Amino acid sequence: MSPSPQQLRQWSEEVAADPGSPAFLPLARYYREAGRIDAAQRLVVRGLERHPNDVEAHHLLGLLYQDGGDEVKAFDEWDIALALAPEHHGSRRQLAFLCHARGDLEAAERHLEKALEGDFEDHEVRALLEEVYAAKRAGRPQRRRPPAAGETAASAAPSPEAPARAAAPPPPVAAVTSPVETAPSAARLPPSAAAADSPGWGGGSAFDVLQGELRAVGAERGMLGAVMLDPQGYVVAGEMHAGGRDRGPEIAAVLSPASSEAERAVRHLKLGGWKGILVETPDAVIRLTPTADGGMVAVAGRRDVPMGWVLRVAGRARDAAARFVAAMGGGTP
Amino acid sequence: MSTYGALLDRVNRVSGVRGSMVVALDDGLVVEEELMVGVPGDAAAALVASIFRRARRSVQAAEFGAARFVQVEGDDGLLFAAAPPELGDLLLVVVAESWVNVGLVRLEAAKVVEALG
Repeated sequence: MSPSPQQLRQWSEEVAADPGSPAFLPLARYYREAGRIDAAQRLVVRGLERHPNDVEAHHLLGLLYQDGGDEVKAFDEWDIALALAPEHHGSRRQLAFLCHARGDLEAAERHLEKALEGDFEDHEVRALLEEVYAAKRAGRPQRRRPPAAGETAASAAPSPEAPARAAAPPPPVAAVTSPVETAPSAARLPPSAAAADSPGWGGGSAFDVLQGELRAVGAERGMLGAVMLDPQGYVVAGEMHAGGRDRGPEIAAVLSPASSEAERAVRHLKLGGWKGILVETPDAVIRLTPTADGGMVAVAGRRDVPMGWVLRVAGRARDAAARFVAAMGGGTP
Repeated sequence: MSTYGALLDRVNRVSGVRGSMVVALDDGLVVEEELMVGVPGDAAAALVASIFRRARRSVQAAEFGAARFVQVEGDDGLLFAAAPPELGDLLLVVVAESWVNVGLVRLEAAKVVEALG
């Protein structure tokens, strides 16, 4: 139901007075419904700076990124939402559709099964899961075509949460399923990645894609760089700048053993598997996360940008590394 | 209760905190602790101090400045270690559940540090 003009005015006034007001969420939803994606995105990003653990805000930001055709960022937001609330059905099903659209049947199956556990009546999820089972039984690769020029990702994959302006019915599954892998939006990939073959992304070698994604992370507002380290402490890809030069190798050499120390610490204290380390200095914030092959991803940002922003950008680097490891056969994202 | 104990008690009042300690950074020995039953203080102190020292070396090598705060996250809980200049060679270590309000813990930790300084 659309909010009344009075309600809208109240939300607007509340957010104008305090960008962290909880009213940012319904107001952003309204803007999205009205097709004002950019305005909605700005509202949610600002709201998340004050409420970094707001699951619904992460979910909505994912939808907004998807509306804008940025599947990578959309993936990150839903991934964060699930990290905060593993039972969040909306984010789970969106991730499932996205993984399926990317041709990652294993991940799609995992998310679809969990989504179905959350809502047994979700027929769209059920239908797609059956399709995935059938594709796996047939042993054929399956990938939905990527969005064509001018088409949003939301319309290429089924998404009942797409706003009215993008609510064109998704093409029939048979029509969008193709064993031929086509490059995703080249605009999101570095030129080198968009040019070459890729086992995992349909454009660029796995290394090129990883390098491009880590560089993109390092180029985000306030970021100092991102590197992926292998279990032996060598830099796999990326760079991290401080004092005018790449400090990746130094960081790799000293940080490499931190992974096993952190793992030992959390295990000894019965805190489960280790998920990450955050280090703050007066000048920088450094985020470390483990990779499935025993390595690590290190991302650094300047101290003057909000912590929540650094953590979210670091999540993108982590996901890029996970995809690389999966493409190399060393784990699953 | 010692001065440290009273301050740790303040951090421990935050919902989700399982305990806190003041730890010597160089050798990882416990100076004061207020922990829930079952939290192995000595081991936690040694491990966190070791991780902190490594993190400090790493960020200094990268010319990012001196590490002031380290957070280690597990699936089921968190460890915080704060070493602001006011504490000299001491660390304030907090063990918490994964769902703890991190901002609140940090706020209380900052108050404790200010009081200790």
